[in-house]
Amino acid sequence: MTSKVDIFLFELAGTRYGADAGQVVKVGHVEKETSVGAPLGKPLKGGRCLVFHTEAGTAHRLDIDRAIGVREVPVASLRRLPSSAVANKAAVGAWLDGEQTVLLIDLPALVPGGR
Amino acid sequence: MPQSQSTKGAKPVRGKKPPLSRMQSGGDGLKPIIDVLKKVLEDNERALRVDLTKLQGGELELGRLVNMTLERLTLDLSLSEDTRQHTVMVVDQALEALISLVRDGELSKWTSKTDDPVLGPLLEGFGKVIDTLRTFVRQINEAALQLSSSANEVLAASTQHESSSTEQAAAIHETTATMEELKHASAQIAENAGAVARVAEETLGSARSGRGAIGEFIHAMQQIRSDSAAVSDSIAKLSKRVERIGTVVDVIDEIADRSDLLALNAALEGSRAGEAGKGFSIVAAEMRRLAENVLESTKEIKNLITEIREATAAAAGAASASKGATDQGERLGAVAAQAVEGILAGVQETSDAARVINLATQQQRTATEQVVASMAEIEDVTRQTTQASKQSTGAAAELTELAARLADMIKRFKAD
Repeated sequence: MTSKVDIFLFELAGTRYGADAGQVVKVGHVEKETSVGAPLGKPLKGGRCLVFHTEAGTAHRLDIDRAIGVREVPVASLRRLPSSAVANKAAVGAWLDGEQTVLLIDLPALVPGGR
Repeated sequence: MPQSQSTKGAKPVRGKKPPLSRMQSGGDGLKPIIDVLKKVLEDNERALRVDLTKLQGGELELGRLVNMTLERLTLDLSLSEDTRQHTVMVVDQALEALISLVRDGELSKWTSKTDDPVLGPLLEGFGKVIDTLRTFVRQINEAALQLSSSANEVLAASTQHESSSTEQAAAIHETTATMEELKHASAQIAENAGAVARVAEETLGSARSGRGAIGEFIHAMQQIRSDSAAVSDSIAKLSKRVERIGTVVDVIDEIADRSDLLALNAALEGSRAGEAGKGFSIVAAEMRRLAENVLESTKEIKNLITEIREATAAAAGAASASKGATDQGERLGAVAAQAVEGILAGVQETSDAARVINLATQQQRTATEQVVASMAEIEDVTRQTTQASKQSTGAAAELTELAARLADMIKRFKAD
């Protein structure tokens, strides 16, 4: 039996990202308070934000362009990125959704000192 | 018949014949006497005598008396013949002298003196005739001189008249030619005036049609303005409805957006619920799909609303421009109507004037034709006058010549 994981897919600044669905508390409207800023780039149109918690239990918001939804993905299809290729410490791996490359993000890692 | 006692060679005596044929003899004894008398008187047998041998008594006596009477008459007649012959000779000489004087024109040399008692009265009578002739010659001479003078005057006057008539004929001919040209010009003018009148009438009709068309144009402009106002009103209403639809769509969009969020969060909740939340996640995904469909639809509606707004704005702009154009059209139509009214009035005046001109030129043409006809008659009369003048000049010349000849002839007769 193949092990699967739920990935929450979203787009930001023209790039498709994925995050562990368990890290996403909810999807809401943009609010300036508790925003992590733009560690993955500035949203092109904005309008949505992801609410997530750090290990300390603090809620933070990441502004995105579009929330695509939850996708159940085989764990085997996920690939961890080599450390030398990681430009952002929040990027932990990648998944190929067909032809589309999805960069997997550890949301708490977006917060300085968040992990 | 017996011829005794008759006188041979006796001349017959002329006289009134008695109506002897009606005489009736009283008896047979008178018959020889009566027969002799008849023969003598009717047949002029003057030598015939009454035969006395067969007569007796009173008839014999009567016969003798008749014979004696016849003898006496024959003798008297013989004496009268001599006298007559002398008288004829003298008269012939006097007449010859008179004729010679008259033929030679030497009337002044006549003399009536003579010793002949028979010729005296005749020469005296001839002298009176010569005096009368001398008087006639003087008078004729004076008359010939006066006639010559008058004939010269008549000739001069006639020559002058002929010259004047010729000049007059030339002037009239020239005037007639000019009038003929004027007649043609008048006819041309009349024709042109008629054409102008027709064109003016057509122009008047066209101007009236133009006035009617402009009236219809203004009416159409007013209708367009009314329609444009209705269109603008409809566009405004449509714009409000579209705005209302936009508001509703915004509400729907908001609802769809919330539904989308709700579905996203429901999916997250289903994911967190693990296997138990699978069905919930499926429902959430379906809800989210619906919400996204709604959002797509509202997006299309918004696009359509945007297009409708743009089209409405364009329509409103077009309606406004149309209203402006209509107002401008109405103003221009009013100006055109006013101008056409002016044109119409002018054309009406032109048409009236053209008709008057046409009538006047027709009258002028008729008058000119009459003048040309009159001039032709005058020219004809003048030609006749010139001809008569020439004849008169010729006659005057002949008269002058005749007067000269008469004067020459009269000069032959010397009255003084």
